[in-house]
Amino acid sequence: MQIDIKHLERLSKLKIQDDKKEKFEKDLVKILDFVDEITTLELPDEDKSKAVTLSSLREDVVKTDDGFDPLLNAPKQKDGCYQVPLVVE
Amino acid sequence: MDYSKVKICDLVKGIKDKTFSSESVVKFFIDKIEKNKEYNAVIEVFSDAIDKAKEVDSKILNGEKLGLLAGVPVIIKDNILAKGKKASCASAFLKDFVSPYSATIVKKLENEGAIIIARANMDEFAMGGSCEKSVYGATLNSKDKTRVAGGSSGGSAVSVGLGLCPIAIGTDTGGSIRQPSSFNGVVGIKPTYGTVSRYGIVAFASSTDQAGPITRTIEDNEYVLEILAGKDENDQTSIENDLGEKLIKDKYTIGLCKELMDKIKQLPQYACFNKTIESLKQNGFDVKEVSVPHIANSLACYYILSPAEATSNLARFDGVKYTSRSKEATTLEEIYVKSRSEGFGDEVKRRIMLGNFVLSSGYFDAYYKRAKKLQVLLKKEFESAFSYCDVIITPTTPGKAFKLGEKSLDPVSMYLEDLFTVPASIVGIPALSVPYGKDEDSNMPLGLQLMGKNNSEKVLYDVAKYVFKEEIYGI
Repeated sequence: MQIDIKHLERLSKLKIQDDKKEKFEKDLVKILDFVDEITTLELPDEDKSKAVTLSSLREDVVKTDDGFDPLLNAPKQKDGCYQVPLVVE
Repeated sequence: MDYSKVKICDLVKGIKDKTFSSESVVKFFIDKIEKNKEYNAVIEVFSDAIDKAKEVDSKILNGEKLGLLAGVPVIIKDNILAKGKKASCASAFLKDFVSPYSATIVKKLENEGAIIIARANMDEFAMGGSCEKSVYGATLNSKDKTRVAGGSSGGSAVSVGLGLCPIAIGTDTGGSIRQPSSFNGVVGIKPTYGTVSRYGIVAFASSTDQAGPITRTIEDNEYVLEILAGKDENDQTSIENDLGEKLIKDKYTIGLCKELMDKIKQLPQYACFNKTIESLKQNGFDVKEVSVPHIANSLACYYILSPAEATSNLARFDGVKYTSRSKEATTLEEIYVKSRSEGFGDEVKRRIMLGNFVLSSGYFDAYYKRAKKLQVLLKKEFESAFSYCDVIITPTTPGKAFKLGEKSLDPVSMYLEDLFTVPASIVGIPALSVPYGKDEDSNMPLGLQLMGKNNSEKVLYDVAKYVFKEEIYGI
């Protein structure tokens, strides 16, 4: 098993420190070898995998928790919005 | 008075009768938390706990009607939201996060008069089986400080094991209530998937996440689960579950999983396991072998599905909405990457990357899709096994609590600890861990796991009464 750690970093929006990269790669390969049995198991061919059966949905009515403040933990905010650096010039 | 040995219903009765006050009970436990700081089970004692206890006492004096947990202290795991209080998932990323609302289960507990006194340590984002992977440092086992607490709800289980509270709430995605309960000689249940609302609990793997109580006795555990259970319109996967009241009978058939027996026979605790089987037989229970052909593949299934779901769930932590933001970041992309890289610990990063691997183009069919198929197959196999028996028993863990640091460098050796606990998580059935023996060499507690069909928790409690060894608590 080989993995492209750079690709996984990109997909994960993570940057692994250089001195830890080798250990990460080794561990990930070890874990993937560990779960690899799944690729050779004989499994019934079912295309509808019902892992979670959703129970009924609630009425589509707007409800708000009293005093709920979505910006309570925002690291940066302005005028009632989350603030990020300029994206479009 | 030592309130840590008092049953929950007697605590409630004593408080309501004014035999003792909620204030004295809460003070007793907070004092005990302070005296046991070295175990690192509790991250923070909430400063309003004593005032809330006083409120309960004055309500009683005024003759107001109070609930089933009037004045009883509860410790919650650090991934459960209680409005206005911190909840950090033991992560540097959420260290200053203040809950904007309360989880449904916190509301339920408080509606019954419970006092949330503290938050408990855990493995970061509930990923781990030792409670060593916390930004606050490792929690130590309540019976031996050189050993791990178990995880991820290690702080919750150790809190009950040390008698720091009568009730601790944990969460269990692949064994995170049952394994630490087993390691600390306490009772913990992962209820049927959907029984306890997940609203206000930080998600790890949404299709297996369940919260549940950790307590000293079976009776206490049942008492609390009845309060926590119930459908919640804020969690569409929640269900109505009567916990199997109608399934209670005099004698049960106990199943031994054929495919796991070779493994169990090799364990040092086999003598203890075998003794339990004999004693169940003597109590008139039928014991028979049942088959779950793919049970041994559950670990592979779990370690594909849970990282895949975690990857999606943890995408919301981006340095914009509610986590800390990297000071080094100048662009939006840098906010994401640098904040996440600084905020998440290594085990969490590993699982996010693993999840992205099994979901990525070229591997999705071979890993994720096949794991989903295996999950469906396992559900069918368990259903079939439960047509021959009421309860399947296994040890909760392959062994006693291991030494601190023993498995922290090798993730796979840590994952193998979950062999007996992940099947119930993957298929959604209830599973209970109760103390049933001690390791002969170390005297450490061992747990027996009882798994039942969906919505049969009361059957598990009923059978567990025959194997539970109360004296194991408080070695």
